[in-house]
Amino acid sequence: MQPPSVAPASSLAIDQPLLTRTEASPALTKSTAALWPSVLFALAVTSITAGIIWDISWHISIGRDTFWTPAHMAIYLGGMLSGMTGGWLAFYHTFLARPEERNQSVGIFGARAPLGAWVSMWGAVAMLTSAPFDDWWHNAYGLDVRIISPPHTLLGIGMLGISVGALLVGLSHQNRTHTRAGDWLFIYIGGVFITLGSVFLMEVSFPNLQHTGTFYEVCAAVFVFRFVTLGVAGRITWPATRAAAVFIAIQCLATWILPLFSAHPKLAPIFNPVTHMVPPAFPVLMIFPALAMDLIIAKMGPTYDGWKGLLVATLLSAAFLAVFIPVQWNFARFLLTPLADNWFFAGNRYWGYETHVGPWADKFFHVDPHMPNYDPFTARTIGLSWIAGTISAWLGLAWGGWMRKVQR
Amino acid sequence: MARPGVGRLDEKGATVNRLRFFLALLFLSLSAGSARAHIGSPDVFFDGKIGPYPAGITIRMPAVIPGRAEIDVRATSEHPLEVFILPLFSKTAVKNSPPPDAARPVPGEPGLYHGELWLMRSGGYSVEVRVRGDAGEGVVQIPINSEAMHQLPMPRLLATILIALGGLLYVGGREIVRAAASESTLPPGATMDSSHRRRGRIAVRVAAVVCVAMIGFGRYWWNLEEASFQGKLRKGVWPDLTAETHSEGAQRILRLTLGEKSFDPHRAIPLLTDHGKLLHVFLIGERESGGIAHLHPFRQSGKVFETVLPQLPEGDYQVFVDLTLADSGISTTTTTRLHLPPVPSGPAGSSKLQADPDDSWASCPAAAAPSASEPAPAYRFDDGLQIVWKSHPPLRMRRDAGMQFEVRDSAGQPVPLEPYMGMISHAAVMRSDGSVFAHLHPAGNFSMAAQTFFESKVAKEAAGDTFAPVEVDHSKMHHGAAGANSPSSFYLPYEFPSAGNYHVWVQFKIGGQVRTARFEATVLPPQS
Repeated sequence: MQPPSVAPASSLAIDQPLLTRTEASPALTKSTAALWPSVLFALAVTSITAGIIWDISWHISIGRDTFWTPAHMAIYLGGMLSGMTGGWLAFYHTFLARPEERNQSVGIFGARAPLGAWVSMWGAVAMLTSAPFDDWWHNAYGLDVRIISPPHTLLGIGMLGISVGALLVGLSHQNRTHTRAGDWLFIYIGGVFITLGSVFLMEVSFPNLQHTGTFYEVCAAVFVFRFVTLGVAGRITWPATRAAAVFIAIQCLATWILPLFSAHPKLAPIFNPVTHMVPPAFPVLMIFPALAMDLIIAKMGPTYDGWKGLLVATLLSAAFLAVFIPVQWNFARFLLTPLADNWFFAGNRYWGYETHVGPWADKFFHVDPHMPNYDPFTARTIGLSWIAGTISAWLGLAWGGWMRKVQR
Repeated sequence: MARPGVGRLDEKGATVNRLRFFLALLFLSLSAGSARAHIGSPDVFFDGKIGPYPAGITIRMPAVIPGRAEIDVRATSEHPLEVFILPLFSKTAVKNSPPPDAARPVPGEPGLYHGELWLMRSGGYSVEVRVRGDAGEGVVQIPINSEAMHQLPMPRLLATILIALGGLLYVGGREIVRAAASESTLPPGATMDSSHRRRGRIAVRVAAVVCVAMIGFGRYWWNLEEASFQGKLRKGVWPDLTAETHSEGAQRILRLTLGEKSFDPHRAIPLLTDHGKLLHVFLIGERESGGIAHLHPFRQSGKVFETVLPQLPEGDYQVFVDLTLADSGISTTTTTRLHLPPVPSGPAGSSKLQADPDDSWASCPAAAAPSASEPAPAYRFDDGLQIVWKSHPPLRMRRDAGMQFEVRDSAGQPVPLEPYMGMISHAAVMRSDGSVFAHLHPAGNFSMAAQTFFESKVAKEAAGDTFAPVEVDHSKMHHGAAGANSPSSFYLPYEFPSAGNYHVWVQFKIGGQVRTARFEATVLPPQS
């Protein structure tokens, strides 16, 4: 099979011709194709992602933390790095850049910077805002031991902003120069973009919940949008599949590396006396549905106007579910068996210190009609997931199409 | 007849000013609730010995749970000590506790050790303090209530900063969307035309709609979180209490109904005895006549308690009831108001109910109460007996109140004291507006019943038994005797929680008779 190539010669929604590699002026290529902003943004989102995975593990392994834990430091470092990089780009393009460089930026309130830099700075401000908000929230309502809370959501939006900004900086570079380095940076940042989304789904996506209806509905809503966006915007072959591979690699590294470090709970009550950092559960196997979506996007081309966009979105959602449901359903079943109880799959090893680990730990949750929160996988689940996935895919097509055109 | 609504006493100043960050980006103060295990006085104090070491402990409770309690241990020893602190939750096994934390010596304060403990769940906890040194090792359990008691308001400065940052995010986000929809897709060097600008304007409008939807959702979510928190916050007194009186012959009978709404209607309220009594009830007259009684009603049915009232004058009284729950070790003080009718005429002793032998009452008019601001104030009884509040620095909130008392005869000689319900003294502190009430002993202001609950839990689990709380009659234990056979002086460890005017009643026993003295105290704000 020929790998799908979505490199467009004539994108339907592109109203200005793209500069091809040969058309790009040597001066521009030399002076503005510098990758260092993309690399710094990639480092920033890596630091944030590592920090947040580390922090979650810290909370379920040790419990007690301070402002100064290494995991928090990694998150702050990522936020600062992206904010400062964006700030420097704004300063440079506003005051120092030559006219041809200034022309590769957008203006906001009289200052100029690449769009991605503005978005990253906005994300850094959102993260900054969430810090005192979160601190006050703990004082007003008590320390939250959940991932999803209003201040954490603001933090997550800030992280999302930084990752989107990083993608845009890479994309504008990729859209202008078509360099391989730019392609790979895009794929890497795309993988991190997927990972950040998955982190906020952790509470509804660990293996014991992977036979519930909610799990598939949420995955369709969150992942389809991200993969379709990357699939349409990426100028490399198999963009969604490659980004899914990066996502799985990042998650696997966390699953394998974290348990190498000793840790003991310091908060009560301790029902599961862990001795090492608790790993996240093995990642969901997104590479398979991503492959299916890449194939469809490659087949359908990069432009999705009107009814075509809606039809393709319906098809992408269906393909996602057709591949993801059987794969993950059976993989989840495997993850709950003793065969997965090893360092590689971390089956039954993702329980924190506050969990009373018992015979229920290798059972699926919320699938017993006689228990509370009964949430079965039914035809209704498939219908809702399809609708959610279609909306998600349609938004991804629109956004990915726009990202594909970003020049500045 | 009881008058509901006394809860407002401890809700004073607890105006709920919700903060509307998402919609109007306007932050205001949030609500405040009451403290429990006493009213308005959440911090816990201990004075006594930890093994061979004389020690004092102060536990400053967090306002919300999960939250951090701050612990100060002042232990006396010629040599450095190791001090460890550990939180024990009533409903989980001791073996599930984390390793103890070392309390660190405070530089420049010999003998003072400081540490912090996270309280993660709502319910009864004990702070286990272990002291190790050359003279050996000692351990003490200090029971505390881990519950959200107060919602901290948002400081105005923080609200202003968040509003500014929120505004920056909104305005910046709007301009980013405009640039994304218009200029970002132009090749380098190209200029925007009217179609690009129109597209930018449309995108800004769409983004504004999305932003409003997000604000609406955020507001809805915040309200849900707020409602969930308010459900856990103990607003007003708890459990619910009604008080009423009826007559049987010449006797007035006080009937208290506890927890009718707060507990399972088909089950008795589960109580531990504290100093041998299920309930400690203080009746405090609201007029200047100064009537006060310390009573111990008997259980008549699951939630109903009765006792014969003493010869208190007719009038309005505040009722404070101390109790400790048997299933969690939680201690609490609940309150209501009561109008006491005049003593009826009729045949004496017609009621089958008898007063508890440890019941006590007195009339301590405000006019007779010395002010704590006087040098060595003394309350004098008619027979010349006097109790002196020894010299102390000016009273300030959240500072040791220096409540060192000595009982002397008319000639000024110390008089030996007898234990009263196992203690050398009982005392009650009430802020003049009723927003603070605490029941104190020389050992501290915590429930002895709750302490026994945790001591027996630790002992049972160490022996490998299933935990079941045991009843210990502290009335036989003579806490606070300070090692002397018959001391004439005693110290009550306490810090007034807020500035204001307080009434302090001190009880002690001499010659088989319980005496009650009253002092007036003006507590100043913290020294700036």
